[in-house]
Amino acid sequence: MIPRLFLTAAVLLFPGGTLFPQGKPDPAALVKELGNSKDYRRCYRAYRALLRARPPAALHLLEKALPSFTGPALSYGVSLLRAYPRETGFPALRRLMKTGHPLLSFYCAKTLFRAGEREALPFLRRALAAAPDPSARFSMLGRIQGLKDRGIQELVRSWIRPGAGVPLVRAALTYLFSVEDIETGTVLKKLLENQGSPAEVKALCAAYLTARGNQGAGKTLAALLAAGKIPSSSFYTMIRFLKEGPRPPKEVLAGFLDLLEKEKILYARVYILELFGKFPFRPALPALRKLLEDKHTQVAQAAFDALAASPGALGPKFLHRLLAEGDPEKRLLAADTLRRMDDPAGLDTVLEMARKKGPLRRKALEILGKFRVNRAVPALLEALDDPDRLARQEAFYGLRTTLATLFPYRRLDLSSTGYHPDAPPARRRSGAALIRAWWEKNKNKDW
Amino acid sequence: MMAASLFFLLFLPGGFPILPGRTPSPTAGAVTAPGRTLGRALNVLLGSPGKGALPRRDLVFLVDPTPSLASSGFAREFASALSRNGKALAGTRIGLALAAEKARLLLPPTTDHQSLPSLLEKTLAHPSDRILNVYASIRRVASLVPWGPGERKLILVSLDNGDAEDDLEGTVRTLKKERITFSAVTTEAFLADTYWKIRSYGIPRKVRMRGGDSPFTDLPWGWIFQFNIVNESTPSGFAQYGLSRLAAATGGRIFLYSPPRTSAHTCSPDRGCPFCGGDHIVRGEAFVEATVRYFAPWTLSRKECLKEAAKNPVLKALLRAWREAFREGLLRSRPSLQPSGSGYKEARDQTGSWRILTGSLKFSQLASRADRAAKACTKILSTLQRDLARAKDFKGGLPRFRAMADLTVLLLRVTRVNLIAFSFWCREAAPILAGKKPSRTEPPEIPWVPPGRKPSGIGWTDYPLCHGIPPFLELHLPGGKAFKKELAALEGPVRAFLDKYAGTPYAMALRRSGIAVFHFTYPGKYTRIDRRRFSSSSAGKDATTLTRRPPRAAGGSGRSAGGPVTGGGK
Repeated sequence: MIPRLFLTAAVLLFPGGTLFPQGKPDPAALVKELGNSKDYRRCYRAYRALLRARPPAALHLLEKALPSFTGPALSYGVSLLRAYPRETGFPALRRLMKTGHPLLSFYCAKTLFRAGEREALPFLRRALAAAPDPSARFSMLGRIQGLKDRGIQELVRSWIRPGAGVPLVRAALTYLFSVEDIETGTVLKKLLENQGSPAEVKALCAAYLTARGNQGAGKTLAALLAAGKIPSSSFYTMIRFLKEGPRPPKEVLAGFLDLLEKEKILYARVYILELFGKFPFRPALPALRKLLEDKHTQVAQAAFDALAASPGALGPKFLHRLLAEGDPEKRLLAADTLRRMDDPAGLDTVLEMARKKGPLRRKALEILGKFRVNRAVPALLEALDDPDRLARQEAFYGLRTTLATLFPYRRLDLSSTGYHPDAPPARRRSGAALIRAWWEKNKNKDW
Repeated sequence: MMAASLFFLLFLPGGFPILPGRTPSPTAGAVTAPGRTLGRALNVLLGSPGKGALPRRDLVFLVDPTPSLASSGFAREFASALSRNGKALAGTRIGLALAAEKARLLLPPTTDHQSLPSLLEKTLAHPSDRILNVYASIRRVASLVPWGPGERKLILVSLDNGDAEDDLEGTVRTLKKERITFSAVTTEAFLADTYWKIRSYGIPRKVRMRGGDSPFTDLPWGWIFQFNIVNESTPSGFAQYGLSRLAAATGGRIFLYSPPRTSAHTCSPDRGCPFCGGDHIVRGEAFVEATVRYFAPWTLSRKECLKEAAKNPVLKALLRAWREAFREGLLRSRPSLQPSGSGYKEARDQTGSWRILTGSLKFSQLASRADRAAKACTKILSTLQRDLARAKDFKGGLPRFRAMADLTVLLLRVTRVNLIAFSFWCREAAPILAGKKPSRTEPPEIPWVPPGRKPSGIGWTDYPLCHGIPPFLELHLPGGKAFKKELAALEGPVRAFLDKYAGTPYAMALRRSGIAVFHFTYPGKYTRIDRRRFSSSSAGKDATTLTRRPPRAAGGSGRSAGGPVTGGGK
């Protein structure tokens, strides 16, 4: 009894409990915790606490402490300053932007630029140019996707040269692709021609050029795929490029089909299947049909989606048959695919599985939330009490979407009941009771 | 078996007849080449139609360097096409010209093709997104080029312009006089586009902004309670009328280009869909080339089109319904044609305003006005249906007008339902939501009107018809069973229309129309903004942004079901 009480007290107090004596945030302590780059969780909790409370006293403390922060704490700190009213937060950001600390200056300049202050652009360029190492460049590139500026584009292009590491090349190409840079082609052709470039770099360059319509690069990519020397870590980026471009040459699709049959890594297979979902490829159909039986749900789902994109490959007849005769996982997939085709025939199946305990409950709840029909609501409400946190999450988010769609003339905030999938059980129960009571009162009303 | 094959040979999907021997008036269907890629277009333009080398010919590419062309990979495709078609190009002279306010010849036609790709890249390195009158460029270049004695082809490459016209028929005469065949590589126009009817920025002098695939707007637009004007967002499957006209008049071709991203499915062109998370699989959305061609617009001159239009009772019925709908304030556009003698002429003043239904918060008054408008809508609808039934046996004319009339029937039905929805909302929901009648909210519900705000008007958003009517029947809406009955009555006609016009822009246009959901609008909040100081900067810094044509939403029509990629967008 006593240990249990102690534990309960510890759980209630611990995340932020020591930081919130009697509910009042201690700004200095929070800012210190935020700078704790060794314990990411504490850092994140301090960030959330500061974001909720936004104590005025924390503002100058943050400004003073930020230059000594590293890692994610830097980015959180800048986000916090942004969250303050413009007239107080922005002057701090402007001052920090001019400190000369490359990463801090970068985050501040980027934040200000995105908020409409074009004067921050030169600082952004300078910070990028002063990036101390490839990992800093990599981190910065991830945050300026879609930001078009000739100076930045020229700088990033200059980073793509023989000897540049694969992660940096990947990040640089992703950025240049996002801004549709028209001069990247010339740089990439040189890399492709360079004998010393690793196969992975060549494959990334070839995928980029293929996505920009270069037929010759398509042949190069097909040859690299056939040689089988490209690690799956680059599949995501390559396929992302290809999906944005015109239909790749059939040799490229054939190359990926070949890899699909050999590849063991789960996510790599899923990415390849997504490519076939975007570009239906008839020779891939038998392999896709086989993958419907794959033991990994993500693979089976991706194969499903790819087949659904190919007319006639996954027609309603096949789906209805699968709905009636397949194993439970396939029945769920069939129900979801039929839903996407505006056929609610699978609703009963999904309802049945959403109410049954078991490993498929989460998936069933996720799909149920997408139907956005009145019949789905009771099962979603029931699952708010599920002992499985992820099932509660699916039910909560599904309910939020469903009720918002069904009641266009009501404003609903489920969190205002105190319910959250991660809240303590007592609060969840009281919150769920309020939501259920509301539903009972309003389910038969016109609006 | 024979009979079945014959049936399919004679009838397109949707049951539209192809009657051999009955050649319709010249349409864009005859000049628009299949496919949507630059590579294919260039192969046809540069390549050989058959075995052996081509006769002597001059090809001049008139390039309009806009940002979208610069990033489309055209320069690379051009270089690849040149090397692929090397043999067929022996004896062909190729030149390059720049479309501009004062167009100029960058390279006279030459057999030395080596310099072309780099010159093209250089030209595209400085794009501009100003609106350009390409017809003036065409006329100027047509007379600047030192043409040889063989075939003469002028190929415009413009992905953004073609809607600013000055003297279209004068351009036809110039091309014919110089014996030039005109072709174009361009993007799809929108179906009966009305974009420029309500906008006037950035327009060059002495032009009239047209847009659209047809010589005149033949689809009523600006319906009340429709947020999205389908004329502005539905791809047509054809180029701008002006470019199609030039190609048809000179024996040329039109090649369409769709950037890959613009062909993906979207339930609504400008917002998310309330019924799906963007994962909708739509069957029958990808355009079927043969069917789209059947509904192609004319490529006759406008004068001839107006003369032909006067003979068409379907168009007459459509214009009558349009006129009456405008008079009742159901849409804010006047008919694009007005009677003139025994024919029609284009109406200059084409915009008006809706019946005032959202200008106040006197809900019962607004509800009564909506009821009267709904009655008027019903009357216009039955008149239109009667007129169309009478014209059922009319065999001649453009099939497109029938499709437009059928679409207008559906849009009238949808408008009627929206008016009824508004009436119910005004009577049942609005007074409570606005706080004029007492109500109590309990968690998880929060007040409709945010604390401290006071509504000043009414706005709406549209839930698209992309998923059909069934999802609407699930919603909790004012009017209850009575309103659901109205919605249910719409289901049959909507489904029938989508089935009949599957694979055409008309089905897409209906999918992008919607049932309105209403909300309040509020006066703007005052926020103090400190005056910012600016300083001059040296050359090379970012210039002040010019007024530019905003990107047009929802471009491509998806690939045809019979083309290299099946399945349309996802």
